[in-house]
Amino acid sequence: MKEKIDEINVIIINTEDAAYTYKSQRPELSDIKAVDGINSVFRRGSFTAIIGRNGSGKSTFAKLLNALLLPVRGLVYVDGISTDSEKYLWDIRRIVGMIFQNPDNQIVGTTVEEDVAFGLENLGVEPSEIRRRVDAALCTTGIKEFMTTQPHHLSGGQKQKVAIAGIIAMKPECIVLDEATSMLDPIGRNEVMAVMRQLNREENITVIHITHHMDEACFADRVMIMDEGRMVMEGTPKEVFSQVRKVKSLGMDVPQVSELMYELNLEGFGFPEGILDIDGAYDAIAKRITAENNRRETSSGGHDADNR
Amino acid sequence: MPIIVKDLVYTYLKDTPLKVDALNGVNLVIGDGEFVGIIGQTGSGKTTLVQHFNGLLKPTSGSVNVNGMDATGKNLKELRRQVGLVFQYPEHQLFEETVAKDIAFGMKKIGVTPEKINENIKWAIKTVGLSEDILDKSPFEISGGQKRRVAIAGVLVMEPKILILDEPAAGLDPSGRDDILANLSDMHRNLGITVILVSHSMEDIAKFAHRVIVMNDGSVQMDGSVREVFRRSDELEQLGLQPPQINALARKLSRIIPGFNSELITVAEAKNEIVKFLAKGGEPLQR
Amino acid sequence: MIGNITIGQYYPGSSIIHRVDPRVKIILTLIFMILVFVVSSPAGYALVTLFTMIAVFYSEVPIRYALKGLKPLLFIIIFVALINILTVKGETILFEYSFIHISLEGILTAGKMCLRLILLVITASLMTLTTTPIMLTDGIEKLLGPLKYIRVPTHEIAMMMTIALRFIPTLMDETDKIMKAQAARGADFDTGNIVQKAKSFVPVLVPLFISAFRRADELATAMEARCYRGGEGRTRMKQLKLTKTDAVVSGFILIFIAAVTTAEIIF
Repeated sequence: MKEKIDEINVIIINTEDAAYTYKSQRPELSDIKAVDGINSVFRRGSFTAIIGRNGSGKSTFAKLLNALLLPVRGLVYVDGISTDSEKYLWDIRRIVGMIFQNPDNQIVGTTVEEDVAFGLENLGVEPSEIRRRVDAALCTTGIKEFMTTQPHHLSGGQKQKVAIAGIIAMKPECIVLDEATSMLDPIGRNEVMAVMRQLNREENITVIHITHHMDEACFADRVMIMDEGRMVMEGTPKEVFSQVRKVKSLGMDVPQVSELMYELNLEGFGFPEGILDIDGAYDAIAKRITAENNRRETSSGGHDADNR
Repeated sequence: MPIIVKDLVYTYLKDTPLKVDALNGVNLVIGDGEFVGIIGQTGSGKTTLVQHFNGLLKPTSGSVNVNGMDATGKNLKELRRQVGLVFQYPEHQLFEETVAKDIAFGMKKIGVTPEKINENIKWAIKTVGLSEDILDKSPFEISGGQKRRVAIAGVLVMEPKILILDEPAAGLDPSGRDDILANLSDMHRNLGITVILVSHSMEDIAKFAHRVIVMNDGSVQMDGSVREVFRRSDELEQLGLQPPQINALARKLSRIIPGFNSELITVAEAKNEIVKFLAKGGEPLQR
Repeated sequence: MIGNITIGQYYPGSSIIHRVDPRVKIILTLIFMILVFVVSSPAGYALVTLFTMIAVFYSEVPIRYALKGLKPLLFIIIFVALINILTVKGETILFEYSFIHISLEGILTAGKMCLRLILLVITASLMTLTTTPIMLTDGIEKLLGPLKYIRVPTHEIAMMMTIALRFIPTLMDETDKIMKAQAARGADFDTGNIVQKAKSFVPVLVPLFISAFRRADELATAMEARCYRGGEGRTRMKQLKLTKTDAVVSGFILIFIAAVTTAEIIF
């Protein structure tokens, strides 16, 4: 019994055979099964990346996680509560915050601080408490200096940080980023990722990051790949990205060094699997080449000695 | 005939307290048939620069000359036919009832004959890698990747001599991105046109462009072959631009392994180089 | 392609005028505007002009900005002036030619009308220049508050105004971008007659509307995700509170109104 309770406590979101179908607008077209029976478990404090080609159902899945959509089949639980319980709807949306793709289309306030306060105002929090939490959220995300700036004067990355601050202020336990980095430049992406990693590490916030960028997926504890509404691969980035052919067949990419190591192993070099970053590849290759050079030196040295 | 940019200066909101120098003194020559990548941070002036190539922006000072035409002049019709500019998220500009009509928009404006229009539409849709059945569909009921290609076809159909694309792969998934860039590379090769690719992604530029122009703070910071530019990766990193992983790895390895080529860019190149070092004296160590 | 339009343009500052509560500011502005309309004596005009100058001075807004609002209205002001000069029949004829009579009275009336318009525009600009859009909508929401009881959706009106203010710059940028993109593939917005010109905007308006709808849809989803459920039970971070500044400014204006009234009666 005790174990059962612990198990429930470490899980923030789980889905049981969740499915969602978009009804077609016209009779001649068939309905679109965007999410087609997904079983998944997200642990508290984990950092999960979900990847998959355009139209694989990632965004629909994300919207199931905070009751923006309700599954047509199966169930989604947030903190043990089914998302179809109307009584807890606003708790569910507070617990699972969401950042969307287009930074412009999720900012409501005409200044940064007004926007960060928006969610708290909706929850009916006391004005003095709103002020305190808004200030804290602006500090955590590092945008305090833009407090009174109008949103259209900010860069894409800064706008996304405003959106993140607006969620943080509501004290969520989980943040879902629905392709939140896809419209940003590399600098903006790095800024957003840095904030999310910090929130994950320091505030123990669960992160579910939907992305097209494999380098971002490498930061996660776990990578899930969706295809045609289903979860088709799941594992640590090492486990997933070492299966280069399979990942590519799903329309995804792997980090360049993973591909290199994979290609070298096809030639029979037997490098360790699951190398994702430059340092890992460097260590493995440098060691091997140095060893090879030493071997050649000693063998050619031995040969010389024989000749004498 | 090339694109010749001389002392180009452009100031946004001139004569207001909000004025911003977007370009300050750019000098460039881009020759016929080149595949040029323009890279730089947001706000470095790359988009502002390319909008001068077809006269959408008029220089605050300096001059832009394209194929012998003055891009600062009044008559821009011919210039805009010869210089096709595909904006970021071009699918947001689709507006006609059918794909075919949308692609034909530009040609109708310059009075091309209906036969020629039909012929060009078919050619353009094939060139961007779509089939003809899409022509009768509404541009709003096709997929995101298809919309992007239709929008590119709408520019390509004018048979430009110079094709400029601003972040053509933005927001696409990896396979969509590779497809569209490979498609561009084919167009460059088969049509013999000049292609200018504006991008944030060093990897994409490294894979396809022959020449890289690095913009920073409204001026050209570096200009050279892909290898020449990546040789200065430390500077690139200072500009907030990340060189491709493979290039960083090769540079790192070349520091401790004598003779290791530090200028590798693609996975295939790196593989060959490493194999050379491991297999030189015979068989690889272990199977 | 689109110039910088100054709708609800706020000039940041912390002057006494900036600090006045938006509700008070809106009411006082309205009272002052009515006053500008009712004065008729030269002394009254002198006083309201003087008062406007004092207000601009204390707002610390550069005079250039305060006058900016006049630019688009220049045509109307000139038109009003001409109508008055040409139609007002006076006794002191300065110039006469066939049906044209220009009298001193006409010129004076024209001058008064123009002065009125100019003062009105400056006052209105001053209010928007010294009040952030959000404060302005807050003020309007609070002032309309009592209408809630006769089922006027005051919260929704204020929310719509906020969102409109928030998206005006975004949609302006977007329009500019779409115009450029269509121009790049051959659209021509400048030549042709009025029908052709209107037609040439179809390729801009269609994508713009589609984009606006997409934005609205996404924004609605984002607002829902952030627990938005209408005005009920909602709190505000910034509570409007009347302060000493409001009392002082209101007091000053009351005295001023008394002065103008006295001047009107005496002269």
